[in-house]
Amino acid sequence: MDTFLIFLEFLLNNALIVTVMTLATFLTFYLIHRAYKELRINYKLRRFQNHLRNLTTKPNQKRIAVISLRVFAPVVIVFLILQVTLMPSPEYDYHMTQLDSAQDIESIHEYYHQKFSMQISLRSAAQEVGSTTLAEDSIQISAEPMMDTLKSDGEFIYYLHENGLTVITPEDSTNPVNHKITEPFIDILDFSPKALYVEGSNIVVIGTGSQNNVSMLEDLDDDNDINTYIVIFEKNETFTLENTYIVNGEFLDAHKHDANLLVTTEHSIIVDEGLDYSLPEVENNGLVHKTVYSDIYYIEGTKPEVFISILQIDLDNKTTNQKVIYSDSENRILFSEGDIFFVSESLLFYEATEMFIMSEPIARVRTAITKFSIDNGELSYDITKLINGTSLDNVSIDVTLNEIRLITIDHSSNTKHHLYVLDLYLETKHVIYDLDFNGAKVIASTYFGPHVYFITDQVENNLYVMDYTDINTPTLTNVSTIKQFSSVVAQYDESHLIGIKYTSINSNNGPVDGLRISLYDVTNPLEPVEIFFETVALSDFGYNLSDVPKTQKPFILSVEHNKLILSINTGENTSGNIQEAVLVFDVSYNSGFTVSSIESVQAPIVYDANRVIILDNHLYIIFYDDVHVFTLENFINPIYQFNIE
Amino acid sequence: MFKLKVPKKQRDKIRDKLKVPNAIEYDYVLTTDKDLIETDKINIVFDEDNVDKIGRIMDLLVKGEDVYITGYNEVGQKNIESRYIHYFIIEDDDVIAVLNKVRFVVKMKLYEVESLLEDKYFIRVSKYALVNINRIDYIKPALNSKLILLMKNGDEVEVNRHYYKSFKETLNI
Repeated sequence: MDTFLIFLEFLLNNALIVTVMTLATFLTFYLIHRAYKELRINYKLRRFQNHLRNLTTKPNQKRIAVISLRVFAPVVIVFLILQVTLMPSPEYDYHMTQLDSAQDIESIHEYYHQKFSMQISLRSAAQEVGSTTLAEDSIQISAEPMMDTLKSDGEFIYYLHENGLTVITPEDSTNPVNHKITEPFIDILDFSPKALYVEGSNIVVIGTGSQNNVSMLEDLDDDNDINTYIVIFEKNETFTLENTYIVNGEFLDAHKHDANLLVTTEHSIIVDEGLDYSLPEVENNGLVHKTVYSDIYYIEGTKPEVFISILQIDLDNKTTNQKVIYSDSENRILFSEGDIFFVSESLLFYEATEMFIMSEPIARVRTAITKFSIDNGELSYDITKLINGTSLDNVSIDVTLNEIRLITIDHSSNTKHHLYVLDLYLETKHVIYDLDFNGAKVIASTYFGPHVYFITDQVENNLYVMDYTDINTPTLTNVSTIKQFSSVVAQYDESHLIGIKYTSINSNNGPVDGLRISLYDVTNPLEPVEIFFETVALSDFGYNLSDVPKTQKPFILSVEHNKLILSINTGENTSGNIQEAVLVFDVSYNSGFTVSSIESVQAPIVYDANRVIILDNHLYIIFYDDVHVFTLENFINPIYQFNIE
Repeated sequence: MFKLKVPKKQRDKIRDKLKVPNAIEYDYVLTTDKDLIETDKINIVFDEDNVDKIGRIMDLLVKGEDVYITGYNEVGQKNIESRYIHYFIIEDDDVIAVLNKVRFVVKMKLYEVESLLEDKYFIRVSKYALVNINRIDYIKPALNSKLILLMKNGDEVEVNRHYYKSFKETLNI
């Protein structure tokens, strides 16, 4: 229907083109008619000659085939040229443009800005695919430490909060707070803690904020005034400040591999105010380095709206290296050891249709995966790979040490999915096209070796298991034994999974929101069995919200201690505060889940939920500025608690 | 030239092998049944197993009845079998017989040649040209209701608009 309406709109807006196309159509028919006549007349000639010349010889079919080729070859060539022009292959047509000058940026902006501003239905359709009440972000990064604001190096616990960095000495209940570092954070306006890393003698703190000076205060609403701060302290008696790096833009993600720290930021471009204003820059202990144009890359077909900076800091030598991607703001960032991958939507515009006046350009949606890697200690652009379909925000992309696995959805059908397995050089190892989940959409996926669990948006029987042990004959099975599978799944051991989802629980006051925590036996991956489950009625505790079914970050699973720890955040209460709590479960193969402890305090704002740490058989829970310390045997009462304020 | 008279059950198979056109005027009767012979014609009675041999005999009969045209060139005089001539064309009031690579002057008028070769599958395509249908390699339609005949020796001969209709009728197009 959409295609038909686009065609009607085209007819109305392009009278001249329609006339030319009509004439061209008639001419084409005339030429085809002539070609047919020519073929026929020569066929008849050949038959007639056969009668006359050699009565015992049958008509020479080979000769007729040659004549057919001679007549129709030009038509076929023209058709193929049109096909190539109008329908380029999305698999092999990819570009990563390295920019040379400001003119390059301006021309890209000018060329794509109009197209993307017209791209209304296409963009909204893509967003619609990703909208769901379930998982928003279930990126799984195996064997990679999660980015958080609470870390331990075995000697100290480090906690980053809005007032600065606090160093805690474990088990020293008399004087647990070793250090409070407030400099240089008090100089940063609205400092927001983001990440913390401990590497050797370096403690790296990452947060965002604005420079606390008068000129910046005038434009505080402007996103471009947000900076990302990377502050490095040396771990000594006084925790000396070593380096401060400032990158303009909002913090996106960070990753540490050995002594290399990768920090990504994003800030929007204001072409009208001059590119110099928007160019990313790095300030290293007061010295400003502006990005050179040759370090800026553009992924063709992506919406050019932001600069994404990738800052590499060598924590040993304190040297920096910066690359910039000119791209859209919807990039998903994945790390694997020293590699960094950007996954974004790339549109392939059909250039031949641009002569027409259309409300929106005709384009095909693809997913671009761009890889940067640290080569000889220096960050450099590696390769860009384009694959079919849209990678959904809520669908797992799995990066292991060997491969990237991701599922995309075909934009035209909206129900056909493609599973791609790429190696870390982005070469396609396997691809399975046109997976159909009975018309449903996949909202999450979890990979276990050669098995993939797909969770769809169906109300019942929402679990599908793919077995691609033999890649030539992959099987996709709808599991009917489990009516509704969990929306977030984590591997507990080789044959068990733990899953969590929202559920509705009956109480005396009617149904209330709750969580269902399940222990699955996956000894046979194709037939998972829910061997235990526990429901937690959030309202019973006065809580009504948990991020757990949406994201894995507030989800700590300690196989070593058989503990499952969930963070629960609540909505705003009458006094304007937000409740926070931690649920600790003992996990047992025999008895399932047992709630061990419930803790709650008042907190003014919700922080990143990952603020629990198990260290030396002690559980540390930090609620804003209160630290509660428990033994792993007793969660009822903390052995001590203190305030880090 | 030939008429095939065979029982119905054999007819399609033998006709397909021999490619005998339905001729109204004929001199030879081909039959597998001696009861079907026609006394005023030359009859060839054959067994179905010998169809291939009959085919070759028919070829010889066709070739044996060819017409010879006398042509002249700088080398001398030659009697040319008409089936080797690609076409006749008038050049400087001379009628030229064009073979594959050589050309001969024929001391006849073109209409006389046409009359002589009337049954030999030569066809008039213009006021100036008479073409051997067997030597046409390809027919290329041109604008203005004309046809361009590409001959097997590479020459091109144009079918005039006036002769276009009769040419198409001959080829049953």
